Amino acid sequence: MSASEVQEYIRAENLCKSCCGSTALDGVSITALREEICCVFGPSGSGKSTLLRLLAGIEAPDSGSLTRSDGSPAISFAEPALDDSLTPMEILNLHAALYGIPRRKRRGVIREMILLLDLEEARDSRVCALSSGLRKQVELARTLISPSATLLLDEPMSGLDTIVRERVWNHLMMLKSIEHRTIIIATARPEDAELCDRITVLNKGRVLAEGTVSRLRSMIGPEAVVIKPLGSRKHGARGTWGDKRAITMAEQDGSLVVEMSADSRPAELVREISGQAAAVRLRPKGLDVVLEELIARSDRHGDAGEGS
Amino acid sequence: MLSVVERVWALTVREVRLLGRNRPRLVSALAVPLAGGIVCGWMTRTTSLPPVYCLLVFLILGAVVLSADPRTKASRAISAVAGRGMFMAAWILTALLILILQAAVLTTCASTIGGFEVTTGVLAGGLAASLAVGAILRQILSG
Repeated sequence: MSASEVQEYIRAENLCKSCCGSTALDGVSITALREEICCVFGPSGSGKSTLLRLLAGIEAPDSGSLTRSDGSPAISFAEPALDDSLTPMEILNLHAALYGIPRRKRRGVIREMILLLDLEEARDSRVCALSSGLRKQVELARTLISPSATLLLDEPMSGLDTIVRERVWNHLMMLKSIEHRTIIIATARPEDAELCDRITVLNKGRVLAEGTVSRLRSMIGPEAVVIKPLGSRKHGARGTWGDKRAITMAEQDGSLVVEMSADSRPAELVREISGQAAAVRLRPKGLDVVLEELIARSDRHGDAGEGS
Repeated sequence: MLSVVERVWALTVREVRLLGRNRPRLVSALAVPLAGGIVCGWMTRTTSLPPVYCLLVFLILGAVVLSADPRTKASRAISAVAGRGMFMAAWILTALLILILQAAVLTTCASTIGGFEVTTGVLAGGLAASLAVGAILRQILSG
């Protein structure tokens, strides 16, 4: 057994799953390593939630293989799966018992989750009386108290405010680096995907691309070239650079932002203007743009294989 | 072993809380056995069919066990954590706890009204009615 195999916590190969006659997953392969935050990134209906349910063992795939190094992972659902007539405290106590957390540690673990997810005021209210955002926080809390080596989180940050979102991200980073856990996040939010170590892009149940954020960005190219012209050449620069296959040019804080067309070569432009500019930098594309481009490519080629 | 007992107990506490906070189920748990008991007590006085009651109880008990399929989203999530076996064990334990409580109430009421036959009739009829309605309600409420 190689060192990389030892590190693999979840390995799924060619998973296929059909629901009500339509294909939800079509030959999806994914690997999650120890001490890693993986992201399954894609638009709604791409099969992210189905994939997580298969990885959690809640549903069985129609075909394909799935191996997990540890026991069952803990899963948090996109739509909270909570008993409406129980309170957050009762739910957390129940799950702490189910996860086998020793009684003497339970109080501390639950307290930590209540503070982390800002549930202090809602802790004794019934779930049916809570807002959708608070329900989502309870759903996350009941998963994050799990000592399981693998956590599967479906749209974990949707509905959370900025402060709680930041706290949860810090907690996930801590779980990864200090407790060496494996975390798989399914999300359609590029701002969450960008914080993950590795991203698998999914669309219509098929993997479009896989890799780090920078690798995915490099597949598409930069979004824009930001040029700070030398003061005296500002006026002329607009005319000189305006025809370099740029889509638009706009001034922003004294710089010119040149949005590039798909077939343009930013390096060529940078070389040409280097003598006339005080500073030049490439602004990378956001993951939302990367996703759009990957989907468009896949539609154009009628092929959802790894983006070429 | 202790861990298993603790988990089953935690799930049983959940079931009891859910029952206690769900008015239709709570009312049915109290009113239905009393109504069933009154009918069966009257039947026991006018007819003599105790074995039928016993058969009925076993049939309905089977239906209840089958109806314990975890169907709500919350139940499915808990079932994924605890395992289906533990989940079922907790539900059966809850059903037994409720039945013991109902049986105690019915026996007390029936023994003050009539003799041994009336008491067994009331007990069998009451519990059977309770189980039947409980099973139906569980299916409806968890659907």
